[in-house]
Amino acid sequence: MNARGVLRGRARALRNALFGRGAKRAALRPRGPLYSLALVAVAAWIVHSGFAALLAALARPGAPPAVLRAALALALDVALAGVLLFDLESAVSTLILDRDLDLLRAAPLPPRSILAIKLLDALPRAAAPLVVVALPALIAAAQTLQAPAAAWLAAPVVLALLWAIPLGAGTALALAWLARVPARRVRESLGLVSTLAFAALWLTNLFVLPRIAAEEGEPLERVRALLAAAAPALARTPGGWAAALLGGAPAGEIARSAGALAAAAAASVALAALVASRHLTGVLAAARTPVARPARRRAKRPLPAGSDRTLPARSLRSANSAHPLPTRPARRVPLFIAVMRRDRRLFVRDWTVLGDVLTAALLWTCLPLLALPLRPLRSPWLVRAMLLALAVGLGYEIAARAFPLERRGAAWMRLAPVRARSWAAARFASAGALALALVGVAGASLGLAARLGAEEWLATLAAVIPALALSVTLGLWTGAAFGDPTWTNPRAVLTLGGRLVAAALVVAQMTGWLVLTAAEESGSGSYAWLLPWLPGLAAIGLSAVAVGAVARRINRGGYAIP
Amino acid sequence: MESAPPLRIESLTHRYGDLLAVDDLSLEVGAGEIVGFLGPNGAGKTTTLRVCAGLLALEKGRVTIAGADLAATPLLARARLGLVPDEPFLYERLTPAEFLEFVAALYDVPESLAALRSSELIERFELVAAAGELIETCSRGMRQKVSIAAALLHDPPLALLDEPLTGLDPRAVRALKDLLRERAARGLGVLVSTHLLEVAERLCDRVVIIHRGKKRAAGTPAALLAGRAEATLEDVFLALTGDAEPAS
Ligand SMILES: Nc1ncnc2c1ncn2[C@@H]1O[C@H](COP(=O)(O)OP(=O)(O)OP(=O)(O)O)[C@@H](O)[C@H]1O
Ligand SMILES: [Mg+2]
Repeated sequence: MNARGVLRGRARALRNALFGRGAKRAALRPRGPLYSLALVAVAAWIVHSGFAALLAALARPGAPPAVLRAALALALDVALAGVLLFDLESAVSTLILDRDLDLLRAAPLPPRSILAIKLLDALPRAAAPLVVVALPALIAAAQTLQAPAAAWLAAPVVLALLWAIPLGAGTALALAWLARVPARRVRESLGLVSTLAFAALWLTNLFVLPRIAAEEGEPLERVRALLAAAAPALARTPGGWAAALLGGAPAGEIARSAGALAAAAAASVALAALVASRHLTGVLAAARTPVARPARRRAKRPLPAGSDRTLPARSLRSANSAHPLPTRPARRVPLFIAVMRRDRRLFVRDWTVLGDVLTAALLWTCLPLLALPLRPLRSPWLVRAMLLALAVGLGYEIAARAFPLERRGAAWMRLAPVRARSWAAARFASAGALALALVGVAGASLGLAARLGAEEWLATLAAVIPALALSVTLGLWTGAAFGDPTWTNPRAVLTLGGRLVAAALVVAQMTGWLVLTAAEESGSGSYAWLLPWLPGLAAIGLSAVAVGAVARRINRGGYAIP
Repeated sequence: MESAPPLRIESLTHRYGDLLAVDDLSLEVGAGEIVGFLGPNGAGKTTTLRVCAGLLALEKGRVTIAGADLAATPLLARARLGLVPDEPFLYERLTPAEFLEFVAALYDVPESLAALRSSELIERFELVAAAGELIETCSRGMRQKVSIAAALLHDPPLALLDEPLTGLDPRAVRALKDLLRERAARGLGVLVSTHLLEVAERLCDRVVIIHRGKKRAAGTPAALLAGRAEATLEDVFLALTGDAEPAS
């Protein structure tokens, strides 16, 4: 392989994606990736400020450097876990499903080279936790700990080594696993990985965070004590090695940490290369096997009997119609039904697209039933808050994939004689029906476990349904505005910028609803009567705006046809 | 209204950023007429067809489809045309039969009529065996056939075809030609872009040749040859579109 040539080609593709090229540059709208970069920069800046503030607070009463290093180690380990949970999956999809793989497979390249090229391609996609969490944490720590110049110079190398450890080991594991599943299940298995990652996140959210928040004592003191206790264990993780290198640990520890870090990274990459040379070719071939399906019975529907040729033409365009109309009053399929029928088929045959959503809904349904009897849940407000979180998250996850799921078929939205508003409404109905069903089941189980009374049920519904409606419409809008019709990874059907915007929208909605709920709980004063109505009114107003924006997107052909 | 031609394009101009892709183009397709749309790669054929079908915004000029103004009454205009795009717009995880059923609903074709027409088209294009398999597993030519069937399912007065012969086997090419001629005999107007000049010469009543977005010639193949030194449509095409690339 001509490594220089390949590298040059990739660098050019990146530059062209960022800045456009040629006379038609303006038409290609190259600003999208620049916006994404700006958003990433903002997120990194926020993490940096937060982490710097935490370190400064810890350092002020004279905490030992070991505690500060432990904080850095923890941040780096969190970033690594993020790489494993979220980016491993996108790296493996890049390695297995990317569109240029057929080209690479046809070229005389050994599997090792394909692995190298595709991991390079995965770099920008699989580096978000490093750029958004690890890098800002490193910078903040270096500032607080007054790192020597050598540490600054070593930082990029350390980050690269850190990144290689989860990705190399994870890729090796994933490939070994994929080589063992049947060919037609490879894509699904890949979806399963993301589903598990997603489920893990939901679980943490649901159980760990409320517990931590509820602990007693002065928070900073607790953090310091926890860090001090965890420091020895953290020092033996990749994050700890990196923290020792960059955080001015004693010389002996630095040498040991550098050795451990380099050895772990090298072993990871070597393992990935070994597994790839054994299995990559087979897995690539398997991933390209379409999901064969037995022929359907319905394909040959009986023709309507006695196609009568005497009936007068129905519409103006039937005047020169090639075909006679049947005598019975012709039944038309309403757009809503047609869209739902299509979506049901597409979804059932590509369940990985929403597999993580289903898992989340399942967890939400089962967990209250299992866990609540142990710790009685007295407050209907808590039930409501949990359901609101579910409605916002689920509505977005389902709706945002509605447009991207159509891929090139989305062109029919411009082609067919159907109003953009009708399209938006049909998509709303289709995505909303699924989301409503899932939230309904989860809510019923939660409500039963918490033994809500009839009135509390009504109040909860009155808050949750508007929240669901709004999150579905906003999800549709993000899908229409930022959908990537060429997606391969079902967890990344939006562009990177789109995912950041979506995350911001989800957080804003959750905050808004929780604030409203809290206000209603403590409701008094002259406007208290208004509070129960506010969610519904706000949701109707904002949803109408969002649906209008979706329709405008469709009208403008905002959803690009490749 | 009855006499409105299936397609009338008046001074259509379309830009991609600074690039002028279609430059003040006017043409008309009459009822029952099959018009070949010829031009070298990048001449602006796909762009023109996409603007007429409403896929790209109509920025300058006027497009009327069977009397319906594309800018003023876009839905009516879209209902009166069928487009076969250069790359089919399909759903990979539907079967051809299910896909046609969905498209029929989009165009408001009654269910029973849609079933009748789609089974007729499926038989005509020898898709019967494939009709129940996922489109994902269909070959390039089979997809093209599905795309053509979808465009003609609602029996529009105008068909816009962008290189419809791509991937078709000789028997399917013949089936398509027969179908177009049959429908044209009943009033269908056809604008078909193609690079196959022999096909254009034999299938089309008229041809329009464009180059760098501008119309270079129009008329029956015979009329284009009359009074020229060139002996075939191919030679005429090469002579009309052979000027050197502009420096850019
Ligand atoms: N999405 C786009 N963005 C920018 N420029 C484009 C785009 N699509 C087409 N063009 C440019 O517009 C011009 C006309 O392209 P068009 O696709 O209409 O040509 P064509 O006649 O269909 O060519 P072909 O015979 O190769 O299909 C070309 O110069 C092309 O590069
Ligand atoms: Mg073209």
